[in-house]
Amino acid sequence: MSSIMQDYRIQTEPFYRPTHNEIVLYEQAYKHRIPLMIKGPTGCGKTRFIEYMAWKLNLPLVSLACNEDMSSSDLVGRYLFDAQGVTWHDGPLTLAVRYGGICYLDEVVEMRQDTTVVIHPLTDTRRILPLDKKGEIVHAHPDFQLVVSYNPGYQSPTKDMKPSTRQRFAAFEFDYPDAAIEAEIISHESSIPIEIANNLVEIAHKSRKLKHHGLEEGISTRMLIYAGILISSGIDPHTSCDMSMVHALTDDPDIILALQGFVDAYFKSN
Amino acid sequence: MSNHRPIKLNSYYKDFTSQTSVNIRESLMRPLTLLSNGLLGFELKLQLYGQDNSDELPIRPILSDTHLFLPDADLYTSDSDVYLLYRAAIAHAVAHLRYSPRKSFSRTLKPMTIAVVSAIEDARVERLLIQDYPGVIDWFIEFHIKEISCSQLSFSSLISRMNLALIDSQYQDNSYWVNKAKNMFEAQKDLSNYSAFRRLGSILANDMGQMRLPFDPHYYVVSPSYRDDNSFLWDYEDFDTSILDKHEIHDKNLVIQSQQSQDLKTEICNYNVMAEVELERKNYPEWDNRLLINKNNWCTVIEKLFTWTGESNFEANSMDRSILSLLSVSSSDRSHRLRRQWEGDELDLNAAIEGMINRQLGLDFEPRFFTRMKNEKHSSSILVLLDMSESTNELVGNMSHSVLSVEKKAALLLAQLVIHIGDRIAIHGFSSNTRAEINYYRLLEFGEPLDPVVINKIQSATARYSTRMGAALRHAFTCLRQESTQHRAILLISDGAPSDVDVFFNDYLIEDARVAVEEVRKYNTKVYCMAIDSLADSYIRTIFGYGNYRIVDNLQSLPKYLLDIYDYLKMK
Ligand SMILES: Nc1ncnc2c1ncn2[C@@H]1O[C@H](COP(=O)(O)OP(=O)(O)OP(=O)(O)O)[C@@H](O)[C@H]1O
Ligand SMILES: [Mg+2]
Repeated sequence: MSSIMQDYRIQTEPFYRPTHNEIVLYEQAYKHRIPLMIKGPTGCGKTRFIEYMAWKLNLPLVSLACNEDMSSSDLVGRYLFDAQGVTWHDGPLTLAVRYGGICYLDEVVEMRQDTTVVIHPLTDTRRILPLDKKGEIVHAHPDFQLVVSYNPGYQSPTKDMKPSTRQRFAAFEFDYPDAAIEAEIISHESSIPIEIANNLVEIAHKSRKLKHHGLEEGISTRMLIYAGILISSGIDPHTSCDMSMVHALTDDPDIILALQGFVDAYFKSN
Repeated sequence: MSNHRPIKLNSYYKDFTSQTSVNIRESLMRPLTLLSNGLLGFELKLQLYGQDNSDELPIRPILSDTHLFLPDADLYTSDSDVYLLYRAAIAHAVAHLRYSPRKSFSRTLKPMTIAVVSAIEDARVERLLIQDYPGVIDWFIEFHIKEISCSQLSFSSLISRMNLALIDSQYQDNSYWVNKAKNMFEAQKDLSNYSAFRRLGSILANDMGQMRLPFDPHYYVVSPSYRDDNSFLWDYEDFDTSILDKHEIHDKNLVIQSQQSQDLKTEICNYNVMAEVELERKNYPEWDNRLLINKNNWCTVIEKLFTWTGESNFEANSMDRSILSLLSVSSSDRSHRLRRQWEGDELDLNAAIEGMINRQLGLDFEPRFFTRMKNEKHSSSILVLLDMSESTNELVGNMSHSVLSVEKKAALLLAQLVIHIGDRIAIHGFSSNTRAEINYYRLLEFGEPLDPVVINKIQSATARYSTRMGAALRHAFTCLRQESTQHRAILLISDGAPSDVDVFFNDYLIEDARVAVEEVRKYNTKVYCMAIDSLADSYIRTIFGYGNYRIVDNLQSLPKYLLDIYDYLKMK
């Protein structure tokens, strides 16, 4: 395969702790190149999972974080000026389509619906990507697979995918791992004792119940890992949690006080 | 008193004390409720209660299965300690609720025995709680230490010293009784064995009796002050000494207060009933989910002229800023930006580069290099429908705002925003008193400016009766249909529960409302609900459908929610 994709290969095995049978399911979906949609709250392990699968299946991984201002050129590519005049540059999506690999579009609902439609011909049996500007039709490499992710929890009434987009995907529903597994992950990633990790997970669970009571989203696995890292580098648990979990999560003084209460309940002072 | 975060706590207080009118105790109710619900795992209502001035005894929190009443008296705590005290009281309450048996039979017990057994039980459940939450020991221990320094040799003093000895392993005491209590307590390995500790308490009470220390149940209070009065533990039925006068006084207070406010409310309502002038009547069908038919002309909506006292101290200016400042960063102006225009205020860089490239490649291109703000006048009409039923008088969570006041605030903020942008908005309200009387008020009409008179009028709207949502929605749509704008939408703001006095099946009005929403949507009109009650989730979803409602959980985010909702309502 082309060396262009070398940079997109994952060299060492990422740490991934399976939470259910998602690895087997993914492998089957990949076998048939079914496009996948991964739903789940922020920081629960979606990206890590895809990195792991890309490594396991020995595929390049091209990731792109989506936003509202993105145009289809940001996905497929565009002409740019250079010394020779103008040259075509493949966008991230085109790279994966042309040379094979997983294209991972993070937060896909942020993208405007009229931009999202460029993936339509790629994600049905045609598996083609027309580059209108360039006058080329790229036939997808046999290894190509499209994966998108988003967080359905934000409940923003303006953001959703068109049915015609949604229905091209099979979906995984991710959530924060079960308490014991989550603690294991945190303990591994931040090298803190499992008892401290357990406490952090308990605090996170309490914060997740505050969703709809003033929090848009509870404390994520990612935040817990940050807290763990600070703790393992010698900062006391109260300060670590304050920094990485409490103040990072919200500005609402009432919620801050409640979250600090949870932290105080699990960690003694001194 | 030490705590981990003196600085942060202070900044929290400063926020409030700079606004002189804000009561720190009341404002602590929300964070403390979140804390206690989190620690407990289910809902416990926190409520402040005042002290009867004539009662000189110090008061204590009172716990029931559903409520924790926290004393709101200066005698009980100063403003600077109140957070730590309430926090400890909550943790102690959580310990009881998790681990104490309820309402033990007390008739055969002497008051002194009850006091000792209760103190042992307090210590037992706190230990259990500390196993769950190791940090809470710090919340308790300071109060015990403070208690010791100011006591002499007496029944109360010995109990306080025992309390400290049972929570603080460092503490040394020279009293035989305290040490016996400690040794027996520590010897008892299984903390969940309530009856073993109960026996232990009886033995200690017996020893105490032999010491012949004076004990007067009238003047005995549980210590330290964060602990509840232990009425939670005992069933005093048939227990006919006057030991309980104290409790009766508290309870009576509570009853009297709520009775008074009830009378006041009824009075206000009656006043309004007299002052109303009827404008128009219109009949609507209602969906019967049992018979599966529309019952024609079943409900009568009566439009009434809204009369108000003309007094309100609403500051229109402070409101302006909060939402309009958000507007500048909102996505709502972005979605109004038109790209690739022939002319405009700003260069569309992507379009320009692409154009130059196309020229270089010898392709066709149009010099549409500009962006410009879309400025369509009155492209949408939004009707805000306020639920003005009795239930909206309730406070939101543990805040000091009623649902209705939040509804009004939301409606006014949205009206400002919509009028500022140049769309059309109306604010209507309703309440129902059986199917024969669905009262409907037009508080702000489409096209009417939001002047101080209107703002006052909306501010003074009061709540009464019930919530027949379906009929109100149908009538709101009748009003909205007159609008000839491109997009039309109804935003219902409510605490969520449809109900009426002549309906006895819970789902009947929910189903009718759901059908009404469907009917309105057939006419290309959006219907969205903003619910001011986090418990409303289930039926709100039934009525409005997934993604078509939003639960408002805190006031700070209200402007942001409104912007979101407005963006959505004016979308095609
Ligand atoms: N199952 C898991 N195995 C190993 N690590 C995990 C697992 N789940 C979460 N993590 C850890 O949590 C961190 C955050 O996860 P990740 O970045 O994958 O979140 P995400 O779901 O992609 O979030 P976002 O939606 O914000 O992109 C990872 O860096 C990883 O350390
Ligand atoms: Mg008690």
